[in-house]
This record gives sequence, C-alpha cells and structure tokens, in this order.
Amino acid sequence: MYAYVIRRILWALPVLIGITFTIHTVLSLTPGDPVRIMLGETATEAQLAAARAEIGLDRPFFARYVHYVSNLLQGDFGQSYRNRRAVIDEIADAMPATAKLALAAMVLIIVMGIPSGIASAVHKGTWFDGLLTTVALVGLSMPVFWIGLIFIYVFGFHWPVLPIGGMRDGFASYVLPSITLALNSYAMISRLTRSSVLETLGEDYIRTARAKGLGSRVVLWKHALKAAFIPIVTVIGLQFGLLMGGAVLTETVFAWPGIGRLMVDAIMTRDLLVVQGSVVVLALVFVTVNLLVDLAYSVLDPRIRYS
Amino acid sequence: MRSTFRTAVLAVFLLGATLIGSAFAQSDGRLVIVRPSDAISLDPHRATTAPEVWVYNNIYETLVVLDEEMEIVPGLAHSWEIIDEERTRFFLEEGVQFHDGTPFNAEAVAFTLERAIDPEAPARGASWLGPIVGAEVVDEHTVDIVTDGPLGPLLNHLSMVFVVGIVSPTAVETYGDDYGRNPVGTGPFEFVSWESNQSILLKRNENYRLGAPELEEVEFRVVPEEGSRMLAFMRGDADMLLRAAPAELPMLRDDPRVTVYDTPGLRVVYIGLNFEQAPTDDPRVRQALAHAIDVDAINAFVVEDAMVEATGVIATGVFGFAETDVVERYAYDPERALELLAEAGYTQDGSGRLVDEAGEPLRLVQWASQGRDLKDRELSETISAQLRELGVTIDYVQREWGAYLAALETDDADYNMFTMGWVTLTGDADFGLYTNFHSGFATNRANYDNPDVDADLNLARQSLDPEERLAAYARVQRQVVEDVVWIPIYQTQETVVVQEWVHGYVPHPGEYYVRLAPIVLER
Repeated sequence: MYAYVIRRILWALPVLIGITFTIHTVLSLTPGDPVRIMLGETATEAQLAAARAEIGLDRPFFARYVHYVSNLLQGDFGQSYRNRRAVIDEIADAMPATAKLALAAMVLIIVMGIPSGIASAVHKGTWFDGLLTTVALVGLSMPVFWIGLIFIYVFGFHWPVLPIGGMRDGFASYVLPSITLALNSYAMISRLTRSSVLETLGEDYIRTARAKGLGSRVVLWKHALKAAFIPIVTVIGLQFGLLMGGAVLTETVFAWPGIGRLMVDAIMTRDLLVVQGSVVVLALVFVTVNLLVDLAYSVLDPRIRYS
Repeated sequence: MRSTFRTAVLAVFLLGATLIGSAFAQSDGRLVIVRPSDAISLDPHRATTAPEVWVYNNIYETLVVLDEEMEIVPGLAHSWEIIDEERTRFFLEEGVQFHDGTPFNAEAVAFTLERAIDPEAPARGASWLGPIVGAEVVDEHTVDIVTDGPLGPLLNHLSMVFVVGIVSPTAVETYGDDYGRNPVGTGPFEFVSWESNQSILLKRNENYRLGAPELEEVEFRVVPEEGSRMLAFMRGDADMLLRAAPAELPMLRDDPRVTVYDTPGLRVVYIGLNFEQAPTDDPRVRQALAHAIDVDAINAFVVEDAMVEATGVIATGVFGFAETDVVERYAYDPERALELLAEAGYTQDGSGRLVDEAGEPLRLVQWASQGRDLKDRELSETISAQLRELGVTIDYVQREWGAYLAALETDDADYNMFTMGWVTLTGDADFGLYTNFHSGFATNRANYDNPDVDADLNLARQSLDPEERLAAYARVQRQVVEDVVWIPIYQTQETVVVQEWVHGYVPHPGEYYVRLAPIVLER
C-alpha cells in the first residue's frame, strides 16, 4: 500500500514536467509580447530590452524552461512579470477562495446528488423518478453564467436576502456561488448514481441476497450501494478537480477572487510564470485527488488491493 | 410543542437575516466603488492601467496637476521657472510628509524621476516622459528637471501620476519588490489593505497638506461581470459605479436616485489608413473610404451612444486641439465614395463588386482589435459590412489585443486599414500628434510621411511659447484631415455613476483620474 502511494507520487513528477513544458511552449508561441503589453506602444527598443532582461525574457526558450523547472524543484515559482510579486504569493491569495468554493459546491453535490440518484433508482419509472430526472436535465442544460445572473437578480436584487458578490459576507457569501457551481455536477452525479445503483441492483449477488430473504433496505444499503459507489467516487474526484480549475465563470459572475480569474488575467497579459504556477498547483490538486480516489476503491470494494 | 418549534425556526430565520443584513451594512464614512478589474500593482512604476491608477491617484501626488479643466495647476511644487531651454526649476511645498512620516523634499522628487527612467529597469510609462533626462537637487525644497533639448509639454509630462507620482524613497527601499502592495505617497488617502481580486481599502490622510478629506475610508471592490456590477450598485452595495455598461446608461440617466457624470474623455478611436500599401496609398481611395463609412450609425447602434462623435484626430479637451472640417469632409455619402473610386479606376461590375480595368477586385486588408477599446470588434465588423455593401472586397483579420499589437509591429504587416484607439494621456497634443503622424515615430502606423507636418511637430515639441505651439498643432491637424490619414469614429466619454447621497465629485476627462478627496456623503 505504502509502496503504491510512493510510486504514485513519483509518477506525478513526469506528469508535472509534461504539463509545465506544454504550458511554457503554448504561452511562448502565443502571439503578443508581454513586455510590449506592459510598457505600452511608445516604449523604445532599449526600454523593451531592459524590461525583458529584468524579468528574464531575454534568454532563449529552453534556457528559460530549464531555469524555471530547476527553481520549481526548489519550491521557487518565480516572480510575476506584471508586478514582480512572488508567484506563490499570488497563488496563495487566490487558491483558498477557489478551494473553499469548490468544497462548498462538492458538499452540495454529494448531499443532493447521491440521495436524489438513489431515490430515482429505487423509484425507477415513477413520477418521482421523472421529476428528479427533469431537475437533473435542467441543471445540466443551463449555462453557469446565465443561472448565476438569474440567482443574483432573484435573490440579490428582487428579494435582496443574499450577498451577490465577493466573499466578505461570511457564510452567506457562499450560498449563491456554490449552488451555481454545483448545479452541473449535481445533475451529473445524480444521473450517474441512478444508473450505477440500477446496474448494481441487477447483479447476481444482489439476487442472492434477496433470495436469502434479506429486506430490500438491507440489500440496498448494505450490499448494493457500496459497490455502486465506485464509479461515483471516481467521477466525484474528477469533478472536484474540474471545480478547482474550471470555476472561472462562476468566479467572474460572483466576483469571487479565485484562481480562475487570476489565470485569465495572467493569460491576457501573458504573465507566463503566474499561468504556469497556477497550472502546476492545480495539477498537484488533481493528482492528489485522483490518488485519494484510487485509495478509496480498496475501502469500497474488498476485491481491490494495492501492492 | 409545535409552537416552540415554530418559534425556534423563526428565531433562527431572524438571526440569519440580521447577520446577513448586518454584513451588507456599510460604515457611514466609507465610499464603496465597484469596478471591473483589480489593480496589477500600486507602484506607479510597475503598472499604468486604469484599474490601478483609479486607486493610486488618490495616494500619490505630482509636482503639477492636470485639473478637471485640463489646465496645469500647482501640485507638490507651488511654483516653477524656466532656467534655460533644458532646465526648469521647481519650488516645492514645505512641511509635507509621506504617509510613512518620511519628509517630502527635492531628494524624493529626484529619487522618483531617476527610478522612472532607470535604464536598467525603466518604469512602465518611461517612454511617455520623452526627452526628460533627470532631476537635480538644488536644495531641500528646490529641484531642477533637466531635458535633452527644449520640451514644450514638460509640465504635462510631469502631471502624469502613472509615471511620476512621487513615491516615498524610504518605503520603496523597505519593501523592495513588494512596494506595489505597500504604496506610500503624500496624497489625500493612505493605503490600508488589499485583498487580491476583491478589494483595496484606503483611509483618509489626516495630515493631508490641503486638509483631510471628509471621507473616512474608500473601498475599491472588483465586480468583473457587467450585470452583477450594475445590480450591486442598484441595490446600494456601492456608492460609485465605474465602467457602467453602455446599454444600462440610458436607464441610469433616467433614474432620479442616481447621478451620472459624463465628460468627454481623452481617447479617440479611429480607423487608420496605410499610406504604404496599395490601394490606400491613393488619396482618392482614402477619401472614398471616409465617405463610405457611416460613423453616425456606428455610434448610435454599435456604441449605443455611450461615446461622443469624434471631431478631430485628438480629443477636444487636449491642449492643442484645433477645430477642423473633419465631420463635413468625411460625411457619409456612398454616392460620392463611388465617384471617387471611379476616378481612381474602380467601377462596379455586374454583380455590384468594385473592380479595376483589368477586372481585379478592389481588395482591402482590414485589421481589427478585440478587447481593447469599447466595441472595437463590433465597430470593425460593421465597417467591414458597410464597405462590402459598397462593393469593396474585404480581407478581415481580427486579433486579441496582445496579438494585435505584436502583429502591427511586424515588418510584413500588410493592412490597408486598422482599428485603433489613442489616448492623449499627457493632455498635450504632442503625445497625440507626434507619436502618430511624425514620420520617424514607431507608432505612426499609417506610415504617414509629410515633411511639413514633421517640421511643425518638431517646432511644437521644442517651442516654449504656447501660442506658437497651438498654431503649429492647428496646421498639423488640418493637414492630417485633408490627407485622410485616420477616419475618427468616436471620442470616449468618461462616465462615473454615483448614488444620490454622494456629493462633490468632479469628473475629469482623463480616464485614469477618479479624484475622491472632494467627495462628501450625505446618506
């Protein structure tokens, strides 16, 4: 088990190197000179060259990349081109906001999505199943920015009971953005839970359990759900990673100071090191969550063992 | 039992509502401003875009100030005199201190200026200082600004807080690279805190040299999405709204609970025509294009009347702006456009397409930017459609701003037309005309080359006589309009929206200047 964990952590290293190299290449090839964007149209060649030297952009592509990776291995993410702040400070400012929002959304997804999926499966084919399916379909179909604005209008303006932006109002600040962020994933998890539970309920061992005379509740809760959870846990893990990196629309609509907005601003100004640093941190989160998901399998299904 | 439960639920609900309500409540002396994006840095040498200048022009001061009437008035220097053509002496206010207690003196001015033009690490706006080469301390409260040759617009250059806002030397040395998050100036407000992408808090400078402002605190909040920003303002979360959506402005103007301050800005958005690329090297084609573009329709339907009609190649408030006949000369007249194109050898074929004698289509390469100026993409597309309707074949190329800027600098840039905005941020025509119409300047993207214009631009830059400068700039503008170098589309309108309880705000034509010291809140 420990050997497996250590092996997985070591495997993350080439993944991170691949990711940094891809980002470095893509951003370096993207048209637009970061120094020209910063210094403006009238800057002279001498001023541009000085600024390039100041931020290290005067070195060739590979030299910059090797320098970046060697610093990264020592925990140094470099300095932002735009404001010379340590990239790690920029990320440290933005990451907690995104993580808290993603966690709040995740709680909603799990608390709402799994029970409604189970209920849907148990009452398959009834009006109740139809209702939950419709709700999930609506959740899947509505674009995040649109539903976000509708929430803001209804609960922030028409009935001004909730804050509509930023995270300065404590718990209340989380209500609208976390529901907005959770909606899509809720729908997905609910649908997945329904199909997974239905599939498990058709397995031979469930039939055997029923044949032994076990009550349908015991069959469902003790035998079926544990096995049905394996694909659900996998998707929840993936969804968490997506919520961390893909919350930019929710962050924009709700003025949430997270990493999505940091990255968009950095991309627009070609602030390469901030983009790279953010992607590295998000990749680490992704790798960690995936590892935890894999470890959870062995808890859910005794047949799975890691060595 | 049931009633106990009901009471408990009600109590929880009321407690929640109270907590939420109290979270919205604002302090009486705090002005809350909502704006679309966060500052990059509060170091004027590191960042010069509006989102930071809105904040730090209340923290820093300059030697001289460009006031709301676009006049230069004393700032940290109470007076000045020209010593010779390359040296102007400034006499500084005495007894002024930076927010950190460091005394403001000639050393601080020299430190700021040397830092701005440091050849190893130039300020972001160093190029805007032109031929300013340094500052020499004469005594504690006297400093000489030295230029390489005479510089007519020197005072305007020194009014740019986004390059030469005077910084505390002690604070710069203390904080190093973190100075941008710990700014220290002499202005009416002091920096308190900054939560990235959320808010920046300032408090009043109790020792401000012109008297402490009425406002106790100012909070700049970031609300990126246009609709959310508007709703936050309308429900009273904020006292001031910056960059309101054009579509919302008519509604805001009709709302008695808010005041909309409009003032013509300093930016002109235009279509530039390339003199070195056929067929726009032909003056008849350029004049025809001027008649073929319906500027009024663009301003009404694309820009939604949020801006004002451009009446020149530089903005009306700029020192040196001269009235020209550009509006009449470029009036929308497709018939006249077709006549001029016929003179140039292009006539419509059977399908209405304009072709030359050999049957080759009249083809124009149109470059457009996206995400720089208000509606730049949409107005470029509309112009494209208007020209196509006339029979012109358009090769339309659109790029995001960073890529656009890079493409314009390449040697093989083959555009005939390009969309661009130019802000005369010094408030002096030198920065609007020399940069765009002098044959030797890199941002002369029309590749315009007129020796008479060059001579007048040189004269106006070097003359210290305002009348002589005005006359030279008037000649330049008339010539540029006659030669159809640009087709101006709109001049920006700076719009600031405030709640009815906000009094005393005076709008400034400069898009960077939101000066908060005079504001009084009467809730």
